[in-house]
Amino acid sequence: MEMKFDGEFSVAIPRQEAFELLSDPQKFAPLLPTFHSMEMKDEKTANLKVKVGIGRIYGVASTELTLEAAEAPLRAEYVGRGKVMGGAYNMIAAFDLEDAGDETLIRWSGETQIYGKVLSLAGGSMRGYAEAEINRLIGSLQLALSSEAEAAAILAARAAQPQGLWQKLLALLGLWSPPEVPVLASEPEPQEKPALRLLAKPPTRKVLKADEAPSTLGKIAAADSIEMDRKGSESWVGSPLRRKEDSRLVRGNGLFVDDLQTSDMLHLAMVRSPYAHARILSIDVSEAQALPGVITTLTGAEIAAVMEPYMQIGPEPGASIQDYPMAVDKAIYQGEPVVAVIAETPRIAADAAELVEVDYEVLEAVMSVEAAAEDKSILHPGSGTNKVWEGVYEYGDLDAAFAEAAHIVKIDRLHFHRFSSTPLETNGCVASWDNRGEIEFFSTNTFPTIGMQMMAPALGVSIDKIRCRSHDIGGSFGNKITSYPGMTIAALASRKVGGQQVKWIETRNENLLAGGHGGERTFLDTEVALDANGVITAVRSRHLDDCGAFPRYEPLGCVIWSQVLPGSLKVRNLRIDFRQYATNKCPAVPNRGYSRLQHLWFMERVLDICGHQLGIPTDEMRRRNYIDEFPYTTPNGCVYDSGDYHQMLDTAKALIGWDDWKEKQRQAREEGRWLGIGIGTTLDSGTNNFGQAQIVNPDAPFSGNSEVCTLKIDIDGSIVASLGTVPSGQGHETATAQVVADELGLGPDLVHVRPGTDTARNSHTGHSGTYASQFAVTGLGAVHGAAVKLKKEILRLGAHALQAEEEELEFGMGEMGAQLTVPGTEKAIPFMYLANIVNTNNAGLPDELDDVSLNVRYVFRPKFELPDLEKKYGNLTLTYAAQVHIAVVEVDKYTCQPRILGYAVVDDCGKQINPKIVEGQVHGATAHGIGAAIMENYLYDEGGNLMTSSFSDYTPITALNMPDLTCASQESPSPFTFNGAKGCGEGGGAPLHTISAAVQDALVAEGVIVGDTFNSATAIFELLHGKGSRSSVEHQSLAG
Amino acid sequence: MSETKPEFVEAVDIEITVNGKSYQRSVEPRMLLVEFLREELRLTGTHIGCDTSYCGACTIRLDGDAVKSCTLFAVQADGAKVATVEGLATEAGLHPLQKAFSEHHGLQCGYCTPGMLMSASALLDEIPNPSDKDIKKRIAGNVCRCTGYQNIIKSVHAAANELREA
Amino acid sequence: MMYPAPFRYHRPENLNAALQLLQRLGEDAKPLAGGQTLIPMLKMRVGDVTDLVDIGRLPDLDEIQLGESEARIGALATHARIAASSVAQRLPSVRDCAGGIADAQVRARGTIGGSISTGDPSTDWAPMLHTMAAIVEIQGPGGKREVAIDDFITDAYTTVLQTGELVTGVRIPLPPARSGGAYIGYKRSAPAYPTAAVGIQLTLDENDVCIAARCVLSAVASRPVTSAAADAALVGTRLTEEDLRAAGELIIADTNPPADVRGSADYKRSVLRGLFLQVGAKALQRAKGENIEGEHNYV
Repeated sequence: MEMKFDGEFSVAIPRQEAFELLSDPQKFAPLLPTFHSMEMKDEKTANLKVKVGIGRIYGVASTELTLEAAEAPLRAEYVGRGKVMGGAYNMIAAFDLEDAGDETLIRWSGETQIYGKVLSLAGGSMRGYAEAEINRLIGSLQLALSSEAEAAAILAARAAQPQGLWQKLLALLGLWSPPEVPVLASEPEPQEKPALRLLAKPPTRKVLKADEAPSTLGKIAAADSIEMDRKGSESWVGSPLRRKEDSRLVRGNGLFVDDLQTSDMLHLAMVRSPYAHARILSIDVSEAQALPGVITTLTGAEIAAVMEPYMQIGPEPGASIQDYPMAVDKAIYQGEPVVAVIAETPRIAADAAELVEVDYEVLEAVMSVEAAAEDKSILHPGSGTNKVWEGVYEYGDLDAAFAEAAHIVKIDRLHFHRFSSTPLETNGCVASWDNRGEIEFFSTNTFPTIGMQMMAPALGVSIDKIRCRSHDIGGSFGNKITSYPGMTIAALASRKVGGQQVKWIETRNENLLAGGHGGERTFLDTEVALDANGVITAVRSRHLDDCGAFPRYEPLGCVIWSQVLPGSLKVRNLRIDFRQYATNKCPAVPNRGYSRLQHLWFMERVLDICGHQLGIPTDEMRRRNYIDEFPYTTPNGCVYDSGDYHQMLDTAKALIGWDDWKEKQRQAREEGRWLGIGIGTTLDSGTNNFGQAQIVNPDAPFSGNSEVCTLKIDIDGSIVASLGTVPSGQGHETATAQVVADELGLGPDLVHVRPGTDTARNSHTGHSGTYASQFAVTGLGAVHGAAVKLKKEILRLGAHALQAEEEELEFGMGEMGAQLTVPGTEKAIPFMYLANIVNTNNAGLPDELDDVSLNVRYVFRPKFELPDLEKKYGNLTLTYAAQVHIAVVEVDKYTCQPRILGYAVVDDCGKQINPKIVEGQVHGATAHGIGAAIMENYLYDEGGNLMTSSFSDYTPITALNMPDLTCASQESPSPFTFNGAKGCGEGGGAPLHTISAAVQDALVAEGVIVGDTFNSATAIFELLHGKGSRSSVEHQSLAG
Repeated sequence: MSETKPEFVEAVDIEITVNGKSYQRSVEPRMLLVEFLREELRLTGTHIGCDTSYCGACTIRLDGDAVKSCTLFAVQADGAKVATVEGLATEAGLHPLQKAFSEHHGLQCGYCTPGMLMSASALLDEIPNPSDKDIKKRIAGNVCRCTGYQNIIKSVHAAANELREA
Repeated sequence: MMYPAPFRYHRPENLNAALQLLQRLGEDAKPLAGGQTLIPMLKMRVGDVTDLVDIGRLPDLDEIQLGESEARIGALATHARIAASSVAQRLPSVRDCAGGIADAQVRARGTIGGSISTGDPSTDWAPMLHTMAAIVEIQGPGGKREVAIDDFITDAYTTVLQTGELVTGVRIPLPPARSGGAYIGYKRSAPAYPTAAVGIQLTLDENDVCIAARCVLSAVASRPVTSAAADAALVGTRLTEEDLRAAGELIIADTNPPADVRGSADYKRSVLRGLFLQVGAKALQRAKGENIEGEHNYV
């Protein structure tokens, strides 16, 4: 945040005298109202300590203040920089002196840049307070300068409380002097004596005594014991079952990463850059290391000496980026780790982090893609440009389409803002790298197999040496896919301390600064061709994607959007010039609807803007443009598997009460109110073909997709499934049990699904993870395949054991649990005995059963071909779920608050495995979209400060903000999946489209174009007042 | 750094009753109640989500009131009765709120759930038959990022019905 | 998790002991009541607080009394208790204010005394109390003193309280018959800081003409914004929308709210204009005897 101040005043002393005072740090500094102490570093530089604070809470800030220029008796100029309250600042202050009769006129100016979390203080309202403070301080400086005698008198009178100028310049932080303290008669010391004892360091934890144990053994709930009711459904699949996971989660018995505690675990705290772009000049960890309880520290230089940079997914120029998990020579985003501190307790680690001294040289921050494209300030010297990737996606015949167009609509700029789903649990891990070379992570990472593929070569270890585990994860929404840099730091820290476990948990402030932001995209020079009926025939546009400081996973975002190239529209001619740039912002990461929602919003905005231009109602515009035959091959070769968008729109209109609202809107407009109705159609493409990575980089060793399930009958007869997926609330345990139960003809309560993931279970491939809306297809495809395989083995073994034919056997329940029987006979064998035959009691097993283990591993691979890399053509995704949303929004005339008066959602994700879970995913994705549309924004200032770095400023959507949803679903089974299901869960950012459309509709008479995804009250106000993100539209009608 | 900054901390002896059981500990004054519960007592059901008193994942009940245990020092709770999610279920089984959250899919990842349950339990003690608005106001300081709140509200109504019928 | 820096903890048994302790420990010691503002600041490590003096359970400081001519609220009364009290029943704007601060959990801990003493520019109590012409009771080692609420907050986070002094309570003179008030804030969500808030207290004569008015703006300057001119402009009118708009302009036009993530100065003025009409209308209805709820606006 930058602040500039200036002014002038006169003092009744000669210029020379005033100059001497102003140009001598030794004379001048003690005049500061909150002067604490100083030490002269040299003649011109003072190391100054001042007390600064918010109201009556003070801290001591250190500042290096240098007299940069002194031109007697005309000018004195100071530069200063320092660290204060978790932030940093730089400042320049100058005094120009002029004779004015007997007096001296002093013109002063100050400029300061403030960085870091200190900006969140005082509700982010620094400037106003700083201004008030400056006025006061200038007044007192004037007084102090009015004569030397007076200045001396002032100093003497208030040893603790001088007033002066410097303080204001330092503190533009909203800092003011304490009120006069009256001297009161000393009182006897109070008698109050709480039970205290003196400790050299904080007490260590006690082990719970048996009688203090929070729960008795008898009360430990069996994780799977949850009653299940098929509720009339013929199969378990399709039943709205309660989830198995709930049993532990509602009791508070989940195991999230921070819940893992051992007595000798160490704790890691990061020291992070307060600057968006700064060279690291020096790092001093001595004071931090000296703090009792601190084990060690780790700097970027130390890390770079023992590891290689991470592999880059993209080709040149992005491939030359040197990507380490910690800043080495320079920091390139606010919040980038610079030093890690490892201590016995998290509190000591936090204390020590405050003691690390880092000296920076601030560099110019690149804060927009437009600025990045100019390459004036380069983030990554190795690549020599801020451009990460570029490619042109062109299909059909653009020239012909524009030549034949009846209408051409041009939109200069549209912008998709930065936000993320901010899972309530932040990123974190417990890491160890022991002396045997084994690296182990218990983490929140939801795509650990890609993390391992990144970390193993960088750390120079075999991938099998890395084990990744999770149990419960507190939401991810894609954000936790890229937590491997933090995991790497924790592992290296463990290695440095000899293998002890090191826990790293982000604070929320760290998470918002550096935990990963959803991608920001700017759409320039869009031109749309339409026929006389308002059918869009061609779109051409330039898309600039802002991936933040490091591309990491993001080059994939340069192609993933093209899974939904035409959105829900029939348009066949498209040309998108796509470029990705690095900026000095937090690295972008996948976020619910990843890369597609930006493009879908663009297509929807284009459709609605065209509709407005042509005067075609928004529903009618969709009628004319919707794709209406399935399977549908898009211009770039993707195949939309099934659906009925028209039916969804009809249902949504019925749900919201379309005609009623239209009438209410007519009345509202007569009353001058701003009421709008918006439709948003969106796609949730699921189960991606990693072959699209080769469109970005032909050398990328990725294609197809796969997932694993291992399923076994354990020695005691229990049925146990392990998955390669990494659930974070999607109910994988339940859905897995449903599929297995149907296949084996048993209740899902008998199927134990191991929570979370563990690469030591050998249930993963290089694609395993939870992302890209695919569990219902790949995850359950693997489960189904494993169940079929296991069933075959059970039947073969059972036929042998019962001396019966396989066809005669039936699954059922007996006294010893699940069993096989031969109906009509006494013959039965419990699973436990079958399991004994292969596990503990296998003498005499015939040769033909040698391959039976009752422990099967099934890898599901959806059928994909490699795309045509030259033409960027091919099937990039297996399934296409769709949603239609309708919102009614009224914009308040004064507050510009977009109040949502009605909200309807129609969802079609094919065959639903568990309708309850599907409904929950629809609700959740809708809440994320609404939150992002009206409340949540990563707002940076020009200097690279994140202004929304706490929840209080970022304001995630709450129950009071969320409208009541009216939901319905339809099922268009996918012809391409074994179960007719499609992936769901990402929701395609539908509320972003819908609310943009509704706000546009509300404000149509005001003549503004909604050109940004972020439509908070303040954004709408600025839009209406000609500021903020503004788009202009040109419409050429060429027909007749 | 101020010269007066304490280099030594004086541990304070406290006694807190948590879920009906009394615990005596000697703690650093700066230990927040949520750390006390999670680290000292290993009651890790109470979660940490935001640090700035926004999200309510750390909500517990202190002498009956739903409060945010990340904005409360353990020493302030000396002598108090604390209830956490771990104390909701009894020998007889799950609390009606716990059952209702599961039945109506009022949770997904489960991270906000303990705080949400504690806020809801305080609400139902005070207002046995809450309106939608009552519920929304009471959980306005509890962020859930998974459910969009729809099924949470449904769950609280269902639990209220069960409690009233009991 | 953010961890506060270490501090020493004191829990004096009575007010006198607390005052003496605060006096002795000096300005790096801070009183801790509900802690709902202080603790988040300590977690951000704003400043070096060496000692906390826990005044949260000092006896007799949390009483809420509704008398014949005035109400008195003890400094340690929580927002939640105040919202449910007889005073809130009698004075609807007290109910608006107490019930609208942050969220239920914060209201259960936060106290009126702490809220006022912090002098946070976003505080609700001080501006609301302005509309009631309340008196702040202060006690220090040297004795008691009283300060009009208008004189209490001098600047952002700065009050007339001196080191070693504590607020012990506030007294609210009960307004005459045919009075009514409202206090409404505009917030993005319950636990977020308000963008702006407005409070208005009115008294009508038997013909529904306004004979006394006090209005205030909050969260838009370093301290609550008041205007004798705006108050005077309301008097003698029937408080039509036009009257409210005209009076509101007298207090809003010169206000220059700081631009921040909650909006520009122009935006906040627009919010204030909307709130002023809304609050004025509600205060008027209440002055006429209607029992209506007031609620903060969100988003």
